[in-house]
Amino acid sequence: MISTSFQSLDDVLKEFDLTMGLEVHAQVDTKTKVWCFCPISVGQAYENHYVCEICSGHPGTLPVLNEEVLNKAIRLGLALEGKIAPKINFDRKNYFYPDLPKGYQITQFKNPIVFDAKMEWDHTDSKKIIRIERIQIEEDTGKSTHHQDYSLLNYNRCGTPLLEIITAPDFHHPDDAVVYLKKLHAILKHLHICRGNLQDGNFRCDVNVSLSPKGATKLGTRCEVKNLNSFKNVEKSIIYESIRQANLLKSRGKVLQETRLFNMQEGKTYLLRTKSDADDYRYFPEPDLPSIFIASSKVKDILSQLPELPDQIKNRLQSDYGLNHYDASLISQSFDIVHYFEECVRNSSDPKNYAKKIANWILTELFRFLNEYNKEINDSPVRPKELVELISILESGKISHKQAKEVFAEMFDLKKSPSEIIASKGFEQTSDEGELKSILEKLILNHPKELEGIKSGNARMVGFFIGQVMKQTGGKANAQLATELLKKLIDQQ
Amino acid sequence: MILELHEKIKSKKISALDLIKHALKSIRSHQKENNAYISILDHHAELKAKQCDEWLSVKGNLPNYLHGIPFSLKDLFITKGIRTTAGSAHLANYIPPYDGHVSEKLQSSQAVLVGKTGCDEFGMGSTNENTPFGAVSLPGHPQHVAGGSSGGSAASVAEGSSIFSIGTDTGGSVRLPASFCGLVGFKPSYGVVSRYGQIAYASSLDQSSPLAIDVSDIAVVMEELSKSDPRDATQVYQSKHSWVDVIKQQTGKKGLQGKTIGFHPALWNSCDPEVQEVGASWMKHFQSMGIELVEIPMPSFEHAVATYYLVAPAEASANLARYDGVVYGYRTPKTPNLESLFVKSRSESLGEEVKRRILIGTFALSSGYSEDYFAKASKVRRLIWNDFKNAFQKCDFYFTPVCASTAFLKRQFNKIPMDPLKDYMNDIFTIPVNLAGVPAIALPTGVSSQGLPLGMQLIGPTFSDQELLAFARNLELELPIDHGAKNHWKDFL
Amino acid sequence: MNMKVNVDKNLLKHVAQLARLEFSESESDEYVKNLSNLLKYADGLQKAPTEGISPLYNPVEEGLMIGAKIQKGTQWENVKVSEQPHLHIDTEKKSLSVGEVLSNAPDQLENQIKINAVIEEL
Repeated sequence: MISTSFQSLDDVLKEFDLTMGLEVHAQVDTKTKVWCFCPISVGQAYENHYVCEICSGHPGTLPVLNEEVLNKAIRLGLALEGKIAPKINFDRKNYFYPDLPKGYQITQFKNPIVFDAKMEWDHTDSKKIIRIERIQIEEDTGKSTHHQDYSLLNYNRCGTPLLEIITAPDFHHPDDAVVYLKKLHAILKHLHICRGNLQDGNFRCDVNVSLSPKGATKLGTRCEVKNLNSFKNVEKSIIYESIRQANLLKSRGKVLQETRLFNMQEGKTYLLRTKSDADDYRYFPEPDLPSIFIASSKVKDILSQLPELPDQIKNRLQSDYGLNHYDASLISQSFDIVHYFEECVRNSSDPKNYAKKIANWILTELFRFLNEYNKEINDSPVRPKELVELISILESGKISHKQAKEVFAEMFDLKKSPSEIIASKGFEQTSDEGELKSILEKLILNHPKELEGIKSGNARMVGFFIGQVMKQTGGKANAQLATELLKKLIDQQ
Repeated sequence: MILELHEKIKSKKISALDLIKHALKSIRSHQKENNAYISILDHHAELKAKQCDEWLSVKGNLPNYLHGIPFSLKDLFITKGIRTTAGSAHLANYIPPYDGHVSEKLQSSQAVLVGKTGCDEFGMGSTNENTPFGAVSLPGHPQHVAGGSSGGSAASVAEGSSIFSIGTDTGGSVRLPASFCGLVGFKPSYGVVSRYGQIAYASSLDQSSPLAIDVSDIAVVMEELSKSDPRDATQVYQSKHSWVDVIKQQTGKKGLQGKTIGFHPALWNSCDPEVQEVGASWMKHFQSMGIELVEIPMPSFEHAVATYYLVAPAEASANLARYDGVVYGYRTPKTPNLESLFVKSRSESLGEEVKRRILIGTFALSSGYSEDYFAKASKVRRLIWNDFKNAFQKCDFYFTPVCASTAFLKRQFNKIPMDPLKDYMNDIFTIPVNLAGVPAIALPTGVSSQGLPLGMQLIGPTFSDQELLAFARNLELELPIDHGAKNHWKDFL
Repeated sequence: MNMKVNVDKNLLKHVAQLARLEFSESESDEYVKNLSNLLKYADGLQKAPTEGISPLYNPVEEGLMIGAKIQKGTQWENVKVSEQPHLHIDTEKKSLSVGEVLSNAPDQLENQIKINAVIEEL
């Protein structure tokens, strides 16, 4: 029996340092495969309909690199502030598996296209920096389906271009891993490098998890959890692995180096195979693909076509819209949020004045609801145009701030426009100065005592008058405006 | 000879069908004794020949020198819809779904394929005995081998059943059988002929190489073979001049005078006396024709065999991993699990020598040994390249034997027990050429006292292919070179 | 360095396992002998003076250098050589038909290759 003295991640982190490195496999969004002209099969496709002699490993076939894959790899490298290798090579990684028809995978072992890249973000008062050691071009494998006593092989996916993005062991909490993956995913999509459909396996993650006693300098034995295809699964599997390893270390003193799979339904990881001496990939330079020299002019070209990146956006949000650093960095954490924000600003009548208010609404109310309903901003039922409409109504003073929040909640739930909801709730404030003035004049005439009270400094009497105004307008009066008018009328006396 | 035949066909003095019928007749009378062919394509060939003749009568012109010329292909070349075995039981029933570069180019030039020729399994051997399809005899000498691995190709030309043949030369596999059979064999520089559709043995050494009766025919064939092919990333050479034009500018002695040829006595000392004698007599001829001889040592050659037998098997171990019985080829009937599917399918269908080389190569790349074996050999490979580079600063071409002896006796007639290492030593003069990727030509020099043909080798610098052929052509015209196989076609000339 | 590898049946078994091959006892003896002889011979390479020498994995690397020199016009008038290997443009071409993909398959079912073994996706 394995002891179960550790029940939660917090338990584990009290005694151990958790260390993780991530390897992401992103399918490159190209029309053709990495070594041949076969179309990439997207989503559901008939089995073995996108297969030729090259990607199914027939004798005598040779790979020729898809130029677009190279360009996109460089694009990603530049976006992640990496160095682009002046000369790249490919290597063969040898292993037998039915979904790998050549008996080796072509990958980049020695001279990958990108090295020394990084990802950074603001974290409370410090900066998180994750080192991305290398990005390499490689090929995806085929797919197998398992039946009672046989398996079927479909090679449509074989030869789909992949970028493998490998970090240093710089993660110490699952939250950081998730932030990193979300940011990387956003950049890949934003730059059109990867379609990014997680359910289709466009973006898959392997996590290397190890524990070491608190403060120890040497890392513990790691286990690799392979093929995670959602952010939630990454988080869950890390937590599961941490607890599993902590309990093993406690009860047996050691963890075996293993490759494990995560079972979504059960939320547990399972042993796939133990790493041993038999695990010898015998890498050597791919003789069919000579070195490619990357001209600096090519890199410059790609750099000049690179769209705005998160850090640049953050600076622009501050200078163009006057957002503070904190708000700007929260908005620039995802391109989808930036798009939403800028769409709002475009829809507003007075961008200079509205930008800050829009940011405020997005970061408070909208985020709160998205979180609560577990939705991404792109799926928000409240569209930018409607949010701006709500903010303008609020600014015009027709409804109170409290009412605006209520209206927002209904917009989110019922997908109705703010004006519809305000009308149906009867929230519209009376801001007609003439009407309020005549009501107040009558009240002053009819309540001399209360008026005296105000004049002698009894502030509570202001409340009396406003309360009466509300009563007579059925609660629709703009209280602020009414108060101002009352003060004016008294002063005039 | 092809240019002469071409004129005859063009002027309708002979027909393509006559030539093909003659070729097929030769196959029928020699196949039993020589076993040059694995597949004989008589119906295909007659049909094609008729189409050739029809073309001429309809269009009145011939677009290509090879129109109607019978040829054979080593069974290592992929031919769409025509069984391609690589001389292996594993691919005994393999019918390629695509066409390779060599087959495509030659057939579209309307040369007529008469058959697929025997070879050592996957090109591994120098005797053509390492194949379940049976050894190939040296025509006229049933106790001797035709040489290997392209033995069937050489025998087919020597027996008069094809006018030229394409073999593959990885360590001498075309030059050696050419020399044993009294033919011209030309290994182009690495990167001249596309390897697409050439079943790989060792990718950085393999090169498609023609065998023919004279140098002029080699040039005619090279015109087609050297056409650029975007499907092979290592095919980097493009001819600037027509190969036929180069040959047509025969200058005889003028083209020879003033050239410098390098050689070294140390390379000749270990050869059979008759080989030494022929070498010495050629060198005398050289001098008499105004060619300067310079002694240039090649110190790295002593390591060439060891280097080759680490590098080639290493690449082969990966190239042959695809023969696992999954997508095509032999599959063991008993497949209780995945491991045994792989192990048994491979072990039951691959030959002894192939397994031996896979083992050597796997070892040379394996963890703990790859530095001392594969990496070390790759460094020595650079030394061999350097030796050639330095030599070609002092000479135009380098002169060596092709083999230390004439054709070997078949194993069953040979009293000395089989020793793979000793067999490997036969390749000492041809191997350095492939390791350095330089071009070389084997030229017939006549026969030994036993009546066995002999060959000499001229090596040129990288991409001097056309200069080397022009020089060899001039030599051919000036020297007493025996073109015995020409006699088979005398009725057509 | 100067490695002396002791080739025995265990080493052979390990290498054979990596290569997915198996042998009978007598075959194993033969292969142990072959491998041992060859490696003994190959140990001669250790004498070769390779200090400071970079490996040459493929002569095409030197070919590309020649290509670069030709580009700069510093040598060779008779040939054209690329200075970069071919790449392929990102434009689709027809794949094989399913029939062709499966035409050599030892076993098939429902347009897929069938193997009588259960495998898990790596």
